[in-house]
Amino acid sequence: MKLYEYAVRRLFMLVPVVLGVTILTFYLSRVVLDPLAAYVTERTPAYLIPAIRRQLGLDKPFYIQYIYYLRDLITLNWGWSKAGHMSVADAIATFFPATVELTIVSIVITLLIGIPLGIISALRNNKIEDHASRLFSLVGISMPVFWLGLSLQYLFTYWTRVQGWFALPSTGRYDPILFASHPVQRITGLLILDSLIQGNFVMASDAFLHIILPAITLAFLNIGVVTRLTRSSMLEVLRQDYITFAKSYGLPQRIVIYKYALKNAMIPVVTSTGLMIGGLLGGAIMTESIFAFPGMGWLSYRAIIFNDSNTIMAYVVLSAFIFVLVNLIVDLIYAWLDPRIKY
Amino acid sequence: MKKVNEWELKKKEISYALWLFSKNKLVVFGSLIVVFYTILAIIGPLIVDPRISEQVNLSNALKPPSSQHIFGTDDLGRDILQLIVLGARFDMSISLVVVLTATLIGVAIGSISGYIGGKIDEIIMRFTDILLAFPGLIFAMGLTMALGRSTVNLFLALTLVWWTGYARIMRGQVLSEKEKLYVQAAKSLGIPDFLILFKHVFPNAIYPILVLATMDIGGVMLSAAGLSFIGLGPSPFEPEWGQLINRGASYLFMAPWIMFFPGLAVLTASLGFNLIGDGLRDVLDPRLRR
Repeated sequence: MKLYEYAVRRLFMLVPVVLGVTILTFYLSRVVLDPLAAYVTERTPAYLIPAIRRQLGLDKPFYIQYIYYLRDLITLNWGWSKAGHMSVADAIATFFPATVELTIVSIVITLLIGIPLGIISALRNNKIEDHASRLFSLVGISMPVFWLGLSLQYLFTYWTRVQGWFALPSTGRYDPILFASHPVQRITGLLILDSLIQGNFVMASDAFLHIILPAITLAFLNIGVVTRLTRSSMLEVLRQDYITFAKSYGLPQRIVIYKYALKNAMIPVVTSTGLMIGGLLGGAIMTESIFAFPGMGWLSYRAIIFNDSNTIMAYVVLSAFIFVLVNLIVDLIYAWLDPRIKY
Repeated sequence: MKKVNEWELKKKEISYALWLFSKNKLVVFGSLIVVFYTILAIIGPLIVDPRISEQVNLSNALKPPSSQHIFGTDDLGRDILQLIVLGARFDMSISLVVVLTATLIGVAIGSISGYIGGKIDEIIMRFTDILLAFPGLIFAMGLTMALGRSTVNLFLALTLVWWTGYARIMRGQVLSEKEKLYVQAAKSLGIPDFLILFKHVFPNAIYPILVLATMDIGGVMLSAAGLSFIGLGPSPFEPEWGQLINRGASYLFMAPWIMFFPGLAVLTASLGFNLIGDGLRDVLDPRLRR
């Protein structure tokens, strides 16, 4: 079977997963959570409630409601968001790019630090560098992200200012006063990219300063994962016969490591990076809410406080779709990298 | 005669593993941490009066660390050190119980799915796909919100989110072992499937699970503290580390010690398990011993 046939087959296999996801979210939003909550307050007159129920189709049997639900899902008619003070579709369009930007910056930091650390650990196996990087990555894995976020916030927005050195912005995505004097047109929604396209370096650096602390917070735990994975799979690959052969053939160490070993050792790293991206795109609830970074995680945290079921369920469905897609892409890359895998 | 030999070999293997284990300083360090917090979890309420978590003394509030209160006091005037000692029981026990349950469920389902393959595998994997498609924290949050805020529901939500990971990894392990020569050889000898699964595939596939489970105890501890941090943990007056950090977040610039020391407790406890898990990986995987 060819790779593209596998891809098409996998796409078809997604259909039951996506349907399963929608059935679960339908159940959660219509049965577990109160679908009326977004439209009814304490001051809504009681006699109006049956009319609202009728209008939302809540008087119909469940299977009809599910069909309505699917129709609304496809037509992006996701209802009103109490947490965002706009329609849910608009809220997601507004807040999602911030999460994408945060994900990109954080993954870049993760890979730039994690992969080299992993290679060094593997090559200097059981030497002091290996132990140091091991301890560092284990601390990263054990780090409570909300505590790290708060500590970084305290250190770099308060303590450094008290010392009179510098101060990073503690919350938000950009400085609104600066934004008023250096407006940025929205093109992609990625603030740093948009500013750079328009040559607005003031806003680009401001946005970067705002994103750096949450990005480091998120990267910190993933660096450990990437380092350990790179190390262990590198060690495993370096013991393979073909590496011994390449070495005995007289190929330079550099080529053996970077051309033959690293490419194969990267397979598990690719998988886990894909899953990390999938998870981060879903929004880092704690990090985004600590830094008031207006992305999906921040929106959903507010939605939970506001008991805003429309936003929560749209968010759950969306992040589920993203995760499924990322998973598919990861599997395809996996199959492409390792021809031994049967599909 | 043959049986005795095998048993002797096993004993040798175990004592060799223990010896390797004790040689690794980081593992010894991790074990000491875990033993320390386990003892704290057991005797905590005996050395500190559990009622102090419900006592409010506003004249003593927000005191910085001093000789009287080594870790300072929180906004209700409670001693942070005493609250941390009391909180050990909740955080330690929920992590252990969740991981144990999730591992048992995940390993059973994953190995069946991977070994049998075919339609059953497809159905189980699509089901875990559906569950895994939800962002873990949001799913756990939704479940805890829907079921109501309590310790049992926190446990249920975390277990429901966690088992799928084990199932998938176990299935992957079984699948990759299944393709290996020794299993093919066993098959061609006519050894029944369930015997191959238990005697040959399982012992080889269980190592990554064991390592993962140890390290996941740390991960679950972080998640439980995290859910508690966003207000979905036990009741506000039950001493728990994540909740204390949440309390401290409101006084971050005024009284950073409130969030700092409980966070340090979460970090070190979780680190203890991760150190052991990391050492376990080196010891249990014979390929890494060379």
